Amino acid sequence: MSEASDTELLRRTTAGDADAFTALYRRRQAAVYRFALQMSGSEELAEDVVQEVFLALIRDARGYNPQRGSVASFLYGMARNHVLRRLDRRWLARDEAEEPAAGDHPESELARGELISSVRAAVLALPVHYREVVVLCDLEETDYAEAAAALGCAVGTVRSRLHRARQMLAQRLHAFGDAHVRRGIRPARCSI
Amino acid sequence: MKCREFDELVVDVARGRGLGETVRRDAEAHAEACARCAARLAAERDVTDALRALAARTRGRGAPERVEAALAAAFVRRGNERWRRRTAWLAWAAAAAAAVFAIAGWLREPRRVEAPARVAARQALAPAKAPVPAPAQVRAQAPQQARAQAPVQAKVAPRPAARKPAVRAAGVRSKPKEEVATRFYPLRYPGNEPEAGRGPVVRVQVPRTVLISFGLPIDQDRALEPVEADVLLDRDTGMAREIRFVREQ
Repeated sequence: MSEASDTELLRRTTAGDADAFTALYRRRQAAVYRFALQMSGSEELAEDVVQEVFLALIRDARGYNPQRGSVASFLYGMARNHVLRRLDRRWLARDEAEEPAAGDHPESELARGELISSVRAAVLALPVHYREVVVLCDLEETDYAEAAAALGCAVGTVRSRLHRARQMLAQRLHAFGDAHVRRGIRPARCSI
Repeated sequence: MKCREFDELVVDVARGRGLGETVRRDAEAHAEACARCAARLAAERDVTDALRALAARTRGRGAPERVEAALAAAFVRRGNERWRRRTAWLAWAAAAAAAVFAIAGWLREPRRVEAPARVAARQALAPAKAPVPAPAQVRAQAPQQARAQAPVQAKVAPRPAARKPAVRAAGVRSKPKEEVATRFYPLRYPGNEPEAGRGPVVRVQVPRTVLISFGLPIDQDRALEPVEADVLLDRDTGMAREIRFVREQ
C-alpha cells in the first residue's frame, strides 16, 4: 500500500477501500495541516480543515481530475477553499489577535525564536493571495506548477505573486532587523 | 546577463530551485559584478533563510490522531450508506424488471378460443370445477388433485410448446412442489398506494441481494444465485405492487 501512487490510493478510496484511505490520509494530512496552519496561524482551524478536506474525499472524490494536477495539488486546493471560507468568517482577525507581536517578547527570549515569530507574523499579515503562494512555494516547497494547479491560476501568476510577496516580507523583516539592532539583538540570517 | 534579466531570476537564485545550473552560475556571476543586484540577492536570501526557519519549526507537525479516528469512523459509515443505497437500487431494478416481464408475459399469454362444442364437453366432464385458483391455493391443493385436473385441461386446451411465455403465470405449474413463502412486502415507490387493486401474481427470479433491502437474511455462499419471487401486479395498470419470496421445501 505504501508504494501505491496517490492517484491509485484515491481510486481505491472511491471504491470503498478503507486501507487505501488511511494510507492516503497518513501520507498527505500533515501537508494539508501545515498549509492551513501557516495560512491561518490557528491550530484549531488547521485541524478542522484537515477533517473537512478528507471528509470531502470520503463523500465524493470524483472531483479530482489527474489532468489538472496531482492529488497533492487537489488536496491543497480543497484546503485553500476551506481556509478562505473560514478566514472570511473572521477567524483570521481572532487568530491574529492571539498571535504574539514581535515586540511583545521579553528581552530574555532567544533572538532566533523572535525572528521566527516575526516571520510568522509577517506571513500572516500578507494579503491572502500573496500568503498562499509563500506558504505553498516557500514553506511547503511545492513547485510552481503544483502551486498553480492548487490555486487555479497560471504559473506566471504564481511567480509574479511570489516575487511581490517576498518583497513585502523583506520590508517587514528589514523593519524587524532594525528594531532588534536598536535593542542590541543581531538578527543574523537563520542557519537551518 | 543584464540587471533586468537578473531581477526576474533573483527569487529562484535565492531559493536555489527551479533554475538550471548554467543560468544560476550566470546570475551569481552578475551579482558579483553588480553591487545593486548583489544587495538584491542578499535580501532575497535573507527572506529565504527566514522562511526556511519558519518551515523547519512546523516540519513534522500534523493533525492529531483523533482526526484520523473520526475520519475512519466516517469512512465506515459512508460505506454502509453506499451499500444500503446500492441494495435499494437493486430492489427497485428487480421490481421494475419483474413488472416489465410480467406485463410482457401477460400480454403474450395465448388466448384460448374454444369451440362451443368443446366448452360443452368440458363442462360435462368437470361440472363443478372452481375458477382458476390463486397461487397460494394451488400450493395448498393436494398433488393428487392437481394431477387429476391436468389431463382434463390438456384435452381441452393443449398448450402449444412453441409459445412458452417468458414468465410463467402463477397457477399453471406443471409439477407443483411444496413451497414456503414470505408474506407479501409492499414495493415502495411513488404512486404505489396500499389500497390499489390487486391483480394477477407472476413468478419471477430476482437477485438474491434483493432480500437484504427487505430485511431478510441471505446466505453469503449463494449470494450470486437468483431467488424466486411472486410479484403481485396492479389490477388496472399492471405495475408491480408487492413481492414475496419463495423457496422449495
